[in-house]
Amino acid sequence: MSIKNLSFPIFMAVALFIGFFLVKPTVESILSQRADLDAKTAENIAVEATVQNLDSLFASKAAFLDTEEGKAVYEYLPASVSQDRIVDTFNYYATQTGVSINGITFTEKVAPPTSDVSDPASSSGSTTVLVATPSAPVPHSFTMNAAVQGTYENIRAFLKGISNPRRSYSLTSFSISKKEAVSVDPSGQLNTSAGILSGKFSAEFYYLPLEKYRNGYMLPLFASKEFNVDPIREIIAKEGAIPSLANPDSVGRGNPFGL
Amino acid sequence: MNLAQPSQQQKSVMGRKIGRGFIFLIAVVTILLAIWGGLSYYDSRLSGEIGDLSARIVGNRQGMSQDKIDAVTDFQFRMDAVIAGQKVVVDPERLLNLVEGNILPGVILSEYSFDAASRKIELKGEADSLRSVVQQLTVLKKMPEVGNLSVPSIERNDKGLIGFTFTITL
Repeated sequence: MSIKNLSFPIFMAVALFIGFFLVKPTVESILSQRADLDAKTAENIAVEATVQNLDSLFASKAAFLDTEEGKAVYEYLPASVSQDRIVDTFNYYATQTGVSINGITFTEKVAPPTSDVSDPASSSGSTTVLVATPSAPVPHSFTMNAAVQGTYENIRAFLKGISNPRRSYSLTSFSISKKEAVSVDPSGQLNTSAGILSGKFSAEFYYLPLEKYRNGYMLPLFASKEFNVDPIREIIAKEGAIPSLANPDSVGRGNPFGL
Repeated sequence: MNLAQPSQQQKSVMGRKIGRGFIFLIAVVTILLAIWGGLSYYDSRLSGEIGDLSARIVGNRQGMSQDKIDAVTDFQFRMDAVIAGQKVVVDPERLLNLVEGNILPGVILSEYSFDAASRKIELKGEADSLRSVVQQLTVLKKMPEVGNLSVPSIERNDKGLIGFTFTITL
């Protein structure tokens, strides 16, 4: 067989080799690089916007925190459990409505995993490291069970008060019951005793510990120069501040075990 | 008769065909190599652009305060969570109003309980007659907020009253 006759299969083999082992990997690399380039371009735009707006956003936050609405953000969703404030609020409404609090218990729930991406995530097959935008953190929570007693009107008013405790929470259950016997008088009318009722409440209260947002600059938030606080203002405007009863008149005693 | 003449002509035609085929194959391989070269050049240019962008990002990030980023991000997420939390608030006063306006004179409640997860209200109480219990059920059933109303138990107690338990699913 002459070389001329062999040339066709040889060239076909060479062409296939070039196609599969040189062109194809290069095309795949280009596709991957283009995806990386898009991601890097987006990151660069985010970084430049953050550099431009970070200081003004920080100043905007500081200015808002000087207002009542700004402070209320941390009352609604504090960075720690802040159970003292809940007891204080319950005590305030108990005092206002005439119910007596028989007991309060708090049970911490298992903390959700932190949402922060501490290290940039690398995409598989990519030549560069891509940065993920941090997702909103899941607030931590604890369950509060409270037992109170009072008249129906007292408990009703108390419930109304604690409906807006300036704290992110969700009421999981509540019950009102009476233990007194119901009697029937000689005329056949139903009678109840004075009507002291016991109320039980179970609610989940939320808090959001401060976290590190290594890739926070990727958030669209940094594209603007100031926070949009209008929705918060609307929420706060619905109710007034709850005065704190937690500040004692004097602090310190020589013998903490004696009265 | 010269038998060699056509054979030589055939060989000449075949040689031309092979020559053209050979050139075509070389052209195909050359084009493939050229495509690969062009793609490789584009690939390296992309790589260079990514490198430039990465360097610019690193430079810009060094100028940013991570503490400020944390503070600003935290504040935004905090506000978002507060706003989202407002949408799931259960209003116990509204729930009590539902029942208050629909209890009949001959009926006295001994327990009211609400469970948010199942959206169920359980009412326990006593009535002076079975008729009052039925009337009470009818009134409760007409409430627009009531999705389902079940009666787990009705029984006469030792005081001669009709004890009942209603479960309202909102």
